[in-house]
Order: sequence, then structure tokens, then C-alpha cells
Amino acid sequence: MREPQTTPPSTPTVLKASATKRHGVVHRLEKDAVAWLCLLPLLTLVSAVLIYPMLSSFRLTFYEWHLGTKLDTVKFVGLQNWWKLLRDPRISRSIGITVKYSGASLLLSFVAGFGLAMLFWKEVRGIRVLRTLVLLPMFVTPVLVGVVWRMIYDPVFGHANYLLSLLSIAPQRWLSDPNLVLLAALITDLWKRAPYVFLLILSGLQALPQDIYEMADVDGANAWAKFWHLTLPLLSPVIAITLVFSFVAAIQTFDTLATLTRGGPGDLTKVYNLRINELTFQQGYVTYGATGSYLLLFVTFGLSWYLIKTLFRPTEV
Amino acid sequence: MGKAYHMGRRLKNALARAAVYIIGTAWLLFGLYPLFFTITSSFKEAKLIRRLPPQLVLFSPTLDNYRDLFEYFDFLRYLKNSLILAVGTTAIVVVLALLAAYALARLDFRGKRMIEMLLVVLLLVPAMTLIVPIYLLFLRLRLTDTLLGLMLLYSAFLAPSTTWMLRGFIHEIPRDLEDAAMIDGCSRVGAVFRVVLPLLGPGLVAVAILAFRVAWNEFLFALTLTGAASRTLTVAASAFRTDLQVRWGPLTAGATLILIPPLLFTLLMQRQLVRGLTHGAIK
Repeated sequence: MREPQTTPPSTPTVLKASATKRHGVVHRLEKDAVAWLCLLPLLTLVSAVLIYPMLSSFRLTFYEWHLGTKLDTVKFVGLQNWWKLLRDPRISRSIGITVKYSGASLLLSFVAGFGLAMLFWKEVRGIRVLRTLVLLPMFVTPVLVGVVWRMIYDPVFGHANYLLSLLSIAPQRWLSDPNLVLLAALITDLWKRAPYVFLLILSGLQALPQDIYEMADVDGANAWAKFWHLTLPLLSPVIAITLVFSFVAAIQTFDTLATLTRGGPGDLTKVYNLRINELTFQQGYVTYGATGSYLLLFVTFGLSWYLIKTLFRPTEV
Repeated sequence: MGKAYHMGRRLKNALARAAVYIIGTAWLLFGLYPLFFTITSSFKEAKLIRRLPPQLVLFSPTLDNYRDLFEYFDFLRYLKNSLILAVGTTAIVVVLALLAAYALARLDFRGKRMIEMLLVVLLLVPAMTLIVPIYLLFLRLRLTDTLLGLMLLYSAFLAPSTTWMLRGFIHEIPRDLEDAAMIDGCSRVGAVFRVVLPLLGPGLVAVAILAFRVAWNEFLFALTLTGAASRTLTVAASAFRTDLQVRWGPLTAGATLILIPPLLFTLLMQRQLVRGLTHGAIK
């Protein structure tokens, strides 16, 4: 967009060269100061609440301390916590469950969300209302998702079993049956996460240029060809971002499973965050929990590296 | 092209269309039914809620469950806490993020790149990593069991994403408008108030809704950092599991009350919301 030409107010031509230079430097410092002043409140808060705890947490991983014990029992242990973490069978088990759960969650919610986006893509009358309705589960308080679905999965009064009874299938103990609990958790997870994928993919679809499709129609392409050769390739950046976002979110699951299954039965749904929380607060093993949570941070950062590279474009001034 | 071809094609289209409608409707039913169940159950008499086959629509509504909820479970206090927390957080976040976003969008200064990188990196920090140091920090600062503490905490969490969102929105407002206002005699601050803020409406709404929702829904830190005085709705809701396991009446009533505000805001502001949510991801 061409900027409209504005004539600057006429500057006096008689100016000492040194005066101009000083004016420039002071002005620049002033501008910098204004900008930093604007950022000050935010930066102060973020430093105190995010950065300092983040660094402090990292330091904790090199010590040994338990909640409730006196502060002078703090001991420096070097990399011991880290060695222990990498060899801990319960942690490995938890990681395995988390990967299984998150992978399945990603797959299900992606397929469903993508399908929904394709379904609700066309701009017909009233589609906006339907799209909003599809989005609703996404905004439900995660804690409540667990509470509500617990009711649905109730073995005696829950509507899940009622539905099964209509199909002449025996009632299941959804949340206490080791074979079914992951499935139950994944259905709930799908319910909550698919709308998010739907939203992202839909936005991607809406940003696609329409003329290519018209040209394809002229060439006689059918719906499948258009999808495979046009839509998918054009959507690949959006798909990549969506997959990374969704996976990162999935491995950090806490609230919903905390109320739906509490990690049970046994520790079958004790995903990583639940295990770390248990370590830190129930067992009071604060330093070990910090180590575990830092591992999650490294993994998250690693996975999101791609995201950072895409999102972080040169500043537009 | 023969007539049979066209008819075959039309049939295929019709079948495809029917499949789309069926799948779409099925999903909507799946998605909305749990919410429908919860909200309608909250108005049913206790014994009707568990009745199978469920009486979905034809029942005489009652407010008994809500009455029980407030009388026996101290719900009003939790509601008040969550409300104050959410509104307070929103106020803080909007001010902080707006200031920072303006500086990032309009001003050029040394260290700008560094700040931008910092914000992006902070977006990725998992909450669990921070829980222990923050708990210890709050203990030292006597901020445990206070709403103010949580407000500051949530504002910090929201800072990176909201700043980024607002920055994107401000970028879309042409600079010339502010420049024109300043030539007309406005100070920079004046120009911001008169030009930028009004145009930033949808952006501010999106940020406000996000902040409200996060503060209202947050669980992990609320659980760890609150005690009896500042307990929020989400923490109370997690206790529903044990206290109200058998009593689905007050359970659904409580769930409905907690559900409604974020859902309501979502429904009312969907257009701005969608723009705001996808702004950073797609652009």
C-alpha cells in the first residue's frame, strides 16, 4: 500500500550541523525509553512470575529437598536427580502412557477436526451458527469435562451404558475396566479437542485462494482430485502447526484426567503431568518433581522449535 | 453425455450430500448432548435425573438443586471468588498487554527482537514446571490463599499470548491514521486513545474473553495456591467428585453455573473470538 504523500512542515534551512546530530541521538534515546517504559509493567510481572521461577526450578533439579522438611536439609546432588529420572520405571511407564494417549488423541482429534472443517466449510446460510455450536465443547472448563463425563460413564445411571442397552450390548464399567478406560478417556478427549483442530483447519481453508479451484473445475477435476492435489498441499503449513499445537497440548493433559480418572484404575491413565504432580505434592518429593517437569519443558521446547521458526518472522515496522 | 451419466452423477451428489448432513448432525448431537444433559438435569427433581430412559424435555423445572447448592455447599463464596478473580485478571491483562503490544507494533527500539523472542519462548513453558517455585515464592511473599496473587499469576501467564494477539491487531491499523491525528495537534497518547483504541475493539474483546476464560477455568495453580478463603469454582468442582458423587442434582447445578459464563461469552462474541484465536497461528 503506497503511503499518501504528506508534505512535512517546512524546516528552517539554517541549522547548525552539530545541533541536528545531538537532536537525533537524544531523540532516539527518548524513543527507546518510551518503548521500554511501555513494556516495563509487563516485563516486571513476567520476570517475577515466569522467568525467575523457571530458573529457580532448574536450579532445584540439582538439589534434594522434600516438602515439609526444614530448609537446612537442602542438599546439593548434582546430576543425581536426572540420572534417577532417566532410569525410573514408573516415570518410563508414565511416559509410555502419555505418548500412547497423546498419539491416539492427536490422530482422533485430527481426523475428526479435519473432517468437520471440510463438512462445515461451505458458506451456506446458517453455517455460522452451526460452526459456533461445533466449537462449544472446546470452551468448557476442563475440570468440568471430567465431572460431566464421569456421570455419562456411570455404570448404573450413565447414558453411555443406556445407549449400549438400546443396542442390546451389556453395560460396561467404563472407568474401572482396565481394557476400556483408555478408550473412555480418549472419547472424552476427542469431544474436547476436535473442535480446536476444526477451528484451525477451517481458518486455513478459508484463507485459501478460490481462483485455483475455478481453474481446476475448468480442467474437469473431480472433488477428490481437487482435494488431493490442491487443498492438501496448500494446507500443509496449517496442518503442521495444528499437529504440533495439538500434540503439545495433549502431552500436558492434567485437569480433565484428574477429575475423570484420577490416573486410575491403578496407574493406567496416569499421564506424565499427573505423575509429576503426585510426586511433587502427594509424596512431597519436590526436587525430583522439578526434574521431571523440566524434562517436559525440554520436550515441549524441542517439539515447538518448528513452531517458533514459523511464527517468528522478521518484525514488520 | 448420456442421460444415465447425469442421473448417476446426481444420485452420487445426493448421496454425498445426505452423508454430509448425517455425519454433521451426528457430531453436533455428540458434542452438544453432554452439555444439554447437564443443564437440563440441573432443573430436574433429583429422582428424575437418574431415571432411565431419560426424560429429556418434558419435566417440570425446579430450582431445588440450586438452592441446595448454595445452602449446603458454600457455593456463593466460590462464585464470588472466581468472579473477582476473572474480572481482575482481565483488567490487569488488558492494560499490560495493550501497552506492551503498542510498543512492539509501533515503536522501533533497541532490544525489540530480544523481547519478541522472549515472548514467543514464554508461550511454550508448561505450567507444571513452574508450580513448585511459584508456590515457594508465594509462600515467601504471603500471597498464598489470596485472589491478588492468582490475578498476578494469571496475568503473567496470559501476557505473552495476549500481547502477541494485540500486536497483530495493531499492525492491521494503518499508521497514517495516528500520524494524521498527530499532525492535527494530538499528542501520541491522545492519538492512541482517539484512533487506535476504537479500532482495536474486536481485538480487545478477544483478549478480554481469553483472559476471563483462563482465570475462570484454571485449575492446577488454583488448587495449589488457594486455601479456604480464596478457593475458586474449579477447585470446588473437583471436590464434587467426592462430595456430590451421589447427588447429581446439586452436581449438575454447580456444573451448569460454572459452565455458563464462558459459554455465553463465546456465543455472544464468536466472530471476534475466531479472528482473535487464529490470528497468531495462521498469519
